[in-house]
Amino acid sequence: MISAKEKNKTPKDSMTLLPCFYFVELPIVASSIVSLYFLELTDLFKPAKVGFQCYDRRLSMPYVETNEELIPLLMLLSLAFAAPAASIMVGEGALYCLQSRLWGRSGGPGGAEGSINAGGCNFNSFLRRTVRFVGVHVFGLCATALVTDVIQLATGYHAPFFLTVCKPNYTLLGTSCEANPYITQDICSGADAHAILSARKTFPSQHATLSAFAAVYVSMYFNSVISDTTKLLKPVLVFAFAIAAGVCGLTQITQYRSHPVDVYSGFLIGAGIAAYLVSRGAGRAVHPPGPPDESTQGLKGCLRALTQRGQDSVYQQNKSVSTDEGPPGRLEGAPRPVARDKSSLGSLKRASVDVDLLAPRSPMGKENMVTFSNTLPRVNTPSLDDPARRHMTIHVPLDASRSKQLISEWKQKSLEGRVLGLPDEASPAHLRAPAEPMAEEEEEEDEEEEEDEEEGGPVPPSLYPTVQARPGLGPRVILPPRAAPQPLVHIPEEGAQAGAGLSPKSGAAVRAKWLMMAEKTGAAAVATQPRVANPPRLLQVIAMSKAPGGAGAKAVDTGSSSSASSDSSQYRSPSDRDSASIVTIDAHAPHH
Amino acid sequence: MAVGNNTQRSYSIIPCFIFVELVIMAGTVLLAYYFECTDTFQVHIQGFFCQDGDLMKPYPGTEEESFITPLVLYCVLAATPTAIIFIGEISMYFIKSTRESLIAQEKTILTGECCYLNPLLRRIIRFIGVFAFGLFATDIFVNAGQVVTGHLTPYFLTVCKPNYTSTDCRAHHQFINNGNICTGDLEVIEKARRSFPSKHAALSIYSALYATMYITSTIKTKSSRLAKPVLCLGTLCTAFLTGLNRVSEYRNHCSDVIAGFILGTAVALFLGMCVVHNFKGTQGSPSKPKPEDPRGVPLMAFPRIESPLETLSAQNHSASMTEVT
Repeated sequence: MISAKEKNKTPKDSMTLLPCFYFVELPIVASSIVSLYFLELTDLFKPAKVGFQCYDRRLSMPYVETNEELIPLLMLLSLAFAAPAASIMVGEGALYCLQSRLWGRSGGPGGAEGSINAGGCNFNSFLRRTVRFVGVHVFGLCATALVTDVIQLATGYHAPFFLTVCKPNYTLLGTSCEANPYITQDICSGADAHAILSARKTFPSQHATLSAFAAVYVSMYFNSVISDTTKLLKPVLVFAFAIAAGVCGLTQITQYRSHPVDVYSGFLIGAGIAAYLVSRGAGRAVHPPGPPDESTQGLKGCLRALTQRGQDSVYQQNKSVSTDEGPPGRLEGAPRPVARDKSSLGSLKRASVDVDLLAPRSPMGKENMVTFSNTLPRVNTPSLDDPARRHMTIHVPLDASRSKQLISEWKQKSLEGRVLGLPDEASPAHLRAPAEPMAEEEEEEDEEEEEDEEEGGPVPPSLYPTVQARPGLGPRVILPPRAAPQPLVHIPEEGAQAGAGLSPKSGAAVRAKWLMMAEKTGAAAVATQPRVANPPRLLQVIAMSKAPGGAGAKAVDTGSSSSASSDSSQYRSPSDRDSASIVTIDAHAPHH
Repeated sequence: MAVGNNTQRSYSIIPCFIFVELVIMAGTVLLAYYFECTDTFQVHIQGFFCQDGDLMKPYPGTEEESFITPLVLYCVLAATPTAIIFIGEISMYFIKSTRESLIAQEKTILTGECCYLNPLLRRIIRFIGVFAFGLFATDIFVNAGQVVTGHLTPYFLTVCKPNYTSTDCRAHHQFINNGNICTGDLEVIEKARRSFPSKHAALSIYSALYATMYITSTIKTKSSRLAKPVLCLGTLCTAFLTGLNRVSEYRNHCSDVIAGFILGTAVALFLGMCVVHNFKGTQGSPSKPKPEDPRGVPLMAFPRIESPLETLSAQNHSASMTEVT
């Protein structure tokens, strides 16, 4: 239920709502209805053959004709569908009116969920909730009927009126009933084949499952929707539906259509399906709006996983070479933060683990976004608080070629002297990361020297200690230098699109933009300074990372012994990229 | 009486009480009355087999001759939880330590200009009202089941004295569907057609379970460890024995009593858990701010991290915190 996940948001656009509804939900419901038709109304599937005993008392009950039934199947179906659907609609309508009166149209503090824009249509919360609940109800009815039919066909137990309609001709048997009381042959001589067929399908009772499902579903809906200010309204409604369902099942016993066991097990099955659907399928939906709890935590988890997956897809699209590096890192990284280590190196190790976790995400950010981020006003950054928005951001597909184009443009215009450093910047860092770590370190240090020279005065003081600390560190502790490029990763999607629109412009405009960007980077870097704000902590981190020295990296790696080489390459790669981007930005701000 | 910030002004509580709760309650009582005391709902006429051994138990006499007469049963099962709730609430209100938590849970409602509804009054009315409603609802459930099924009591054939001569009852498996071959007392026969589920079992287990839930969730005394279990198990055992007595007196089948137990248990659990919320106050426990998962935040917030140093130190911090704890 995608729609169930997208609640508790302010009005927003959803591209997936309608396609998901049309191509996922509707086919599922339709296929279940079609299979239900084949099971119920055609005799495509024969029930299993089960024997019976001679003159079995329990199977000799009178037969009530189908048209004399107290509750025929069609009436049961319509009742089980209509009564909960109508009450859900009434309940949702009352809820919507109350909420809009109390908190205004825009959804109040406890507003259930915002309206959604999909394909030009505006679906408000009333419509969405109603469609969702009624849809889950319809689907649940179909599923319950399917399950019931399948069990009925598979067991093939006899209804209490079986011997009445079957009229077995005991003389057909070679032996007498006394000698062999259990009959497995088909010796029915009754005329009504349809009645005999229906007498073979009794466990569990269709009436019981359907009515129990409807009653339990609507009861759980009431239980979660009706507030506690009226103590007796909820139990009255719940009891009314429960009595109706109970009566519906019990008439099957009194009319000899089913054994008591069939009805009771039918109650259990229907109630179980309803409880499952409410707690899992529409779980968040039915629960009333409230403070974020574990369900929203789960939602965050889903979104996070989705984000990662989306990123991976773009990532793999862009760089098919690097795919072998990304997933293993995440796979190793995932379980390790859970394992708590109480050794002295524990915190350091965890820090590196966090870097490990973050590492596979950064190529995207650098590759596609750093180029465009600064061509735009940064007004859009607050919207990044929305995880979905961020998700959209990451999905922007067109950046790779554009960014390369821009990079090459900019390269040719402004960088003549630095032929040595640039290919590394332009080429993705993780491509060379696994190749030769030693040469990389040298390059890294070269770049750092350049950095130190060129940054000169305008370097924000917060950056200084980290840069100085770096040569002494092992390759793994390099994440402090990420301070500067980090703000660049703030790219809203609009930014990327606008940047793409900008790219065909002349070099002057580009240069102006870059100038602006450079100033902003400086400002941002200064702005980051108060955020660091905890010099002892910073120093402590650095000291901690320094303390093991160059061998510290190996020590920690032996701690997590399995994948030392791949880890180290991964640890280094973000820092390479970051240092590269530091060089790029800060070096050429004064250049223009 | 109450702390100043614990008073709440509400004009809707009295109309809500009168026009919703009382109407529902009156409707329930009326329905139960129709089921019990009038013959508005005709019992379903159920057929039976010739010479069915299960229905030929001896007739134990009218309900008044039973070991547990209906009058005693109804009085006890209505009075016991009421008395327990009364005593419990009043003692909670006058014992100082529990009173504070009580007042913290429940607000004093000020309606109109004059009337204060203090927590004691509100809780007593709520719990006893819900209990009474559940009692009548259980009765309706039981009567509906009895009327719809028309299940026959074990002594049915004894009091029915069927006239087999009119039908051919040669074979053992012959099912007699028309119920008017009975020659016995019509009133007793009418009673003998109401068996499933057992009313005694359902009502007694409902009452006992409600009282038990109240005791377990309200009384929190550390000094006496045995008082609570003894009280709870005593009431439950009494209810259980009441149901078993019905079977041993041939007034109900075993399945009827079990169904009654299940029915009463379901009603009591629903009312206790979903309606009065385990006898807590309406506000419930104050919701604690949930600490966010320290692992989830940096991953979620990655694209807008200003300074990884900060997050790093924060992570270290939280990690060391969790290590300590």
